[in-house]
Amino acid sequence: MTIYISPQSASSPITTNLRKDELAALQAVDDNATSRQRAIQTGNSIPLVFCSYMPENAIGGVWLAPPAVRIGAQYKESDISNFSYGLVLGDGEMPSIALADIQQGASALTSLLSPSAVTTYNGLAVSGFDYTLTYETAGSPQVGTPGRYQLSAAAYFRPDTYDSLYYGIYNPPYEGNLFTNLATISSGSAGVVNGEYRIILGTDIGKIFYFEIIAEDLNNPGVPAAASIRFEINQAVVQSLSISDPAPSGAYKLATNINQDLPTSGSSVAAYIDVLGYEQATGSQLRIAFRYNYVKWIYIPASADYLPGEPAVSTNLPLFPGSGGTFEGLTTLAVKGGYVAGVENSNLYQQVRCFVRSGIVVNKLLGGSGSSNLFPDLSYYLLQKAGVAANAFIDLPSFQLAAEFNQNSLLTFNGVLANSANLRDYLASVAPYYLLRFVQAGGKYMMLPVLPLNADKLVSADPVVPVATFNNENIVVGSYQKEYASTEQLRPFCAVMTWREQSAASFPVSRALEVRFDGTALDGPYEQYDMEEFCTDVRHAEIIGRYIISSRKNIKHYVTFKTTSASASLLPSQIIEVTWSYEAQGVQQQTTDFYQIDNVVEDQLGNYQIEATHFPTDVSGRSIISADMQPALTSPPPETEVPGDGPSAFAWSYTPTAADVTALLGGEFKFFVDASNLYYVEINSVDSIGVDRYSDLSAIAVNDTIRFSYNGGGNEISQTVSSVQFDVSGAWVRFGIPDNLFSVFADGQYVTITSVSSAPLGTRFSFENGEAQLGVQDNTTRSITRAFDGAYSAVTPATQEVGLLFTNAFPYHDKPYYMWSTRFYYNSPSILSTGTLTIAGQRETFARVSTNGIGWQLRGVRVSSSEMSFRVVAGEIAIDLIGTATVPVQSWVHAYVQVYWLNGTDNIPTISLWIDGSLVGTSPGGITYNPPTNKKDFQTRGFTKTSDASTFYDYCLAATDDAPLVPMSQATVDPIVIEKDLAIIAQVQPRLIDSFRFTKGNGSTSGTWDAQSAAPSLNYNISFTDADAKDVDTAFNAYVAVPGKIVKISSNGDPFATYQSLSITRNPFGQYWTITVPQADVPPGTVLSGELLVEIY
Amino acid sequence: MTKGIAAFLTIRQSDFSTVVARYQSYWPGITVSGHVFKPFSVGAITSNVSGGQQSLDIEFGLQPALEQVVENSATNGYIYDCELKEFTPTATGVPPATITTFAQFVGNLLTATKTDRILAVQIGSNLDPVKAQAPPRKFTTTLVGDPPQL
Repeated sequence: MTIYISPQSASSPITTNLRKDELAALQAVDDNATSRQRAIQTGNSIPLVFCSYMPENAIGGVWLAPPAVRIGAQYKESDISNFSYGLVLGDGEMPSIALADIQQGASALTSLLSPSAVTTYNGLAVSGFDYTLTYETAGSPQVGTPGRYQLSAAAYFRPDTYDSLYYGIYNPPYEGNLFTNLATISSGSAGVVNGEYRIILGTDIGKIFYFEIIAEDLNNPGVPAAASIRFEINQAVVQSLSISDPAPSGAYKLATNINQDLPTSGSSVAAYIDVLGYEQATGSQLRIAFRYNYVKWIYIPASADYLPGEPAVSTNLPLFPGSGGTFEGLTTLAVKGGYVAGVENSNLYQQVRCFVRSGIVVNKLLGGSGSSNLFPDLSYYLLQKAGVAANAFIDLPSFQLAAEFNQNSLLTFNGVLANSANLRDYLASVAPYYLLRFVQAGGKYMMLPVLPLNADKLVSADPVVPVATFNNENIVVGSYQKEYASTEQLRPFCAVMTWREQSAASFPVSRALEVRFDGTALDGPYEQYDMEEFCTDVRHAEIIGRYIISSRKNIKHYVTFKTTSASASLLPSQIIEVTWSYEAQGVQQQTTDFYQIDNVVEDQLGNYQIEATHFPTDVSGRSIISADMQPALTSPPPETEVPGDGPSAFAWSYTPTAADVTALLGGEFKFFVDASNLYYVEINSVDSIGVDRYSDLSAIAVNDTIRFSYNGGGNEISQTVSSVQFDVSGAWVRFGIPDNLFSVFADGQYVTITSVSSAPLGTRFSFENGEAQLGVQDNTTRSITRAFDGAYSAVTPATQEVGLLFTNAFPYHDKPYYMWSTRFYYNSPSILSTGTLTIAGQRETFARVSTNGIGWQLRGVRVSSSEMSFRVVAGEIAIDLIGTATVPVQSWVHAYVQVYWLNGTDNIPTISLWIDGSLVGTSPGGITYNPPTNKKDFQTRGFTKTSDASTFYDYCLAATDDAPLVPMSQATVDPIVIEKDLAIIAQVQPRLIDSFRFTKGNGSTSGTWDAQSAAPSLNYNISFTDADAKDVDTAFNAYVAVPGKIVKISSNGDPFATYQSLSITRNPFGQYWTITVPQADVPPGTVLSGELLVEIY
Repeated sequence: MTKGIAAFLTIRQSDFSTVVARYQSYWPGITVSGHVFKPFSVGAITSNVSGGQQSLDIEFGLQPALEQVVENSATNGYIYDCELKEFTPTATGVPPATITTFAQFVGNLLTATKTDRILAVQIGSNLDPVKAQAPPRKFTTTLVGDPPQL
């Protein structure tokens, strides 16, 4: 049976409903923007997001409503409310999600306050995201003025009269303006008297201005006694003195200006007078007296209308924000944002959605790794993941052919696998929607096209060539059986193809396309085919719809017969010819039909039974089904203009380091200024999670824009790249920038770097046969004929110097140039998919290859000081024929290397082409390469002086932003298409280097810590090994060698405090490390006890 | 013209490069291309469009060494590579120079049964209905922790 796509007709309502339920779970088509954020459920399948957005066609991508593993919401009735979500995007590694592609509820995340998002693989971003749930009431404001104390305006003296003499504590009366006698010491015999006398001055004192005491011998007035005095406020000494000074009256006096403010009313103020060895005669007397002046604390009652108001109260909600988890092998997205005061509480809990432009990173069948939208790539990934299908059981060539076919036909898969299904069933049921069959033959799994393909790996419209022919000679007698399709099966019907319409700016909606033959089934019957889960292109839906209705209309019969073992190697989906002769009523009859093999089964006798389905062809042997599909297959895909500054075309996070560090580690970058006062940013090729981004970094070119986003995306600085330098070994890439940014960023600050391709200069020009602008060899002699005509490129007289003089051709040496150069022909559009192009002698060059504007890219990698190798990034878009309008001479496919020239004064490059590891041509050098038949052809004869005194060259088109070429009439090369957005690279968190745990102790004993105040700093002392016997020494020795690292410290279970550029010293005698933290940076309320956790990033 | 059909069985380790054993079923006492003679018969080979489970039945005569190989097969994931070859028998009974492969089957050991006469094995490369799921993984507490509650 060849109707491989199961219909979901109106007669199968249960099936249809189930499909819709699944979609609801998938959130593939989601029209409830303000629904509540869904939480993750253990036991459910981990979604697998498989997609790749094609900006030139606006096809692809997936809107995702990821489940939350962490929920944070800090709602405030009268202030800004914030939310944080930790979400699981899917299984495997996925590139980062740009901020502009995230929604919360119906709001774009970028429209909220302080938005931020971090994509992480193998973890979940925590730093900067508050996963707590609190609710803070608004409270009520205070009315009127509360009661309060204030200082009196008038000054008072105490005491104002002398008092009697006596020993001990004295409480003076609180009035008077003269000295008060505090004490008189009498002695019956001569000797030395020491004593301390305490004066309690009172508790209503706001400020003491002046204080005096006298101490004299009453029997010898005017003879002073040695004494000192100290003042205490709340038992803390605030001043002390011991001076000798003759009193005006002959007494001994101490006097001081205190000017001491008492902090609050009710403070206890006391003066202590110490008599220090008064030598007295027998019967003598010592007199101590004092006085002072002050102002009082006066209480002002509350105003009559005073109401204290209600404070805002923050409450932890009785909900659970989620905890734990390793997130191994998962890609997560941490998102946060805020709303202004007054927003509905429910807004914080609305579902976060994101538009995923690039799904899980897989090994691509057509080379390389990255996000893909090819169903064969998905199939191959799943088969490998399943583990039961070892590579020995997967027929790789068939999967590669299927991938190329889908790629060339633009049949893309953009969907989410969320509901668990048996893999074999899934692949077998979805494959037909990609015109493929999931086949098992000889124990191996294969992915085979349902229709014959031509040399371009497209559905063939040519006459079918059967792989085998069967007739009465090789069909076992009596085994031939023909079964005809039923009338119901042949009845015209309308195929309702549902697909998913979406864009990055709008949520997906379900669309239905009716596919029917003209004038038939206008009122049904209808059969529904659901492609919403993975189809975002109406053209794709139409292609499949045409295949379905044409198959049903034209497949008339099925055949079964037995044959010999010679047929054992036949595969399902192959086309065979069956001629059957028989005699009827004495007349010899014969029928000949094409069939497509469904099954090949060996029976007990060693015969092979073939089951096949009618493969309808016209009189010329061409497939009727293919012909019915051609209008859709050959229709151009939708085209959209790729914006020059699309959102977050290139982003990931780095940890900057100090300018004086010359050897960058992975995940670090730095700014610096050279001797010529030019500014640079240098980025280590390996990012914070250890992924080498060199190829992506090296794709950033002069005039591209680099954006540095920091503070969680709250701040941004843009810089235009003025130069690009590459490390010989690919360890780093250095960009010249106009400004010195070093002072902008603090060491250790996390920065997202975004690169946006400059607007392609190529948009200014185009060319077609015979109209190319030429003349790079000499700007005074420009050929305008015969470029790209299929046989020659530009022709100039041999008197011209052989070689390329770009300097003369391009007047603006500091401008980038795009060069359409080094044409190479080949007649197989796929052969370059694994080739390597090497351009030597030009340090800062990369090239891109395009055929008819739809092409693949060459990415350059510098392999030595004089050579860069360019790897073909295959599989992004199919290579296409230019077509007869532009290739009148022969049907070669033309490919053009587009060389991006950084500086017209640089050396002329040598361009060589390697294909499959073999050198097939080099330029300049006069090599003309004649390829074998049906092999690639790389011609460099443009650098050869020929016998007719002409020089052919292939470098023939150039322009600058300031000097564009003359626009031409027909665009055969569309640079907009060529200039694809660069891939979005994962946004990552700083990498945790190590963590340690200590218990409170002396810091020297193994596993302990201690804290010492060393104002204005605080020293954390931690022992050489932590509480888990981890070696602190090794990590810290390595750490302190690289300043600028981040240290996070937590004590007593409090949240981590983050520090960087700290002083960290090793005390070998005390056997502890000391981390010196500015006290000002220690969070208020930090309790220096309990367990201490130290993390190094 | 009489045609002969011989089965050549190569048993490899799971890396598909290390050969464990090579057997052929046609020429007693003769080693053909490294394949020693073992008496065994091979069942039918099929190809179909559904990617459905396929298997191939092989019956061996009882031999201790062979039993050991079969016993190790499941544990070590041995891969059985069975080729059916067609040839024209020679008058002397020695293998002819030209032997043509017309069918091939690759698979792991699925089941094995031993009776007092034979050792029967079934090989295949099935996608297990339970194990082979798409998507392949599930959310677990270890993986995502304790879920939030709203």
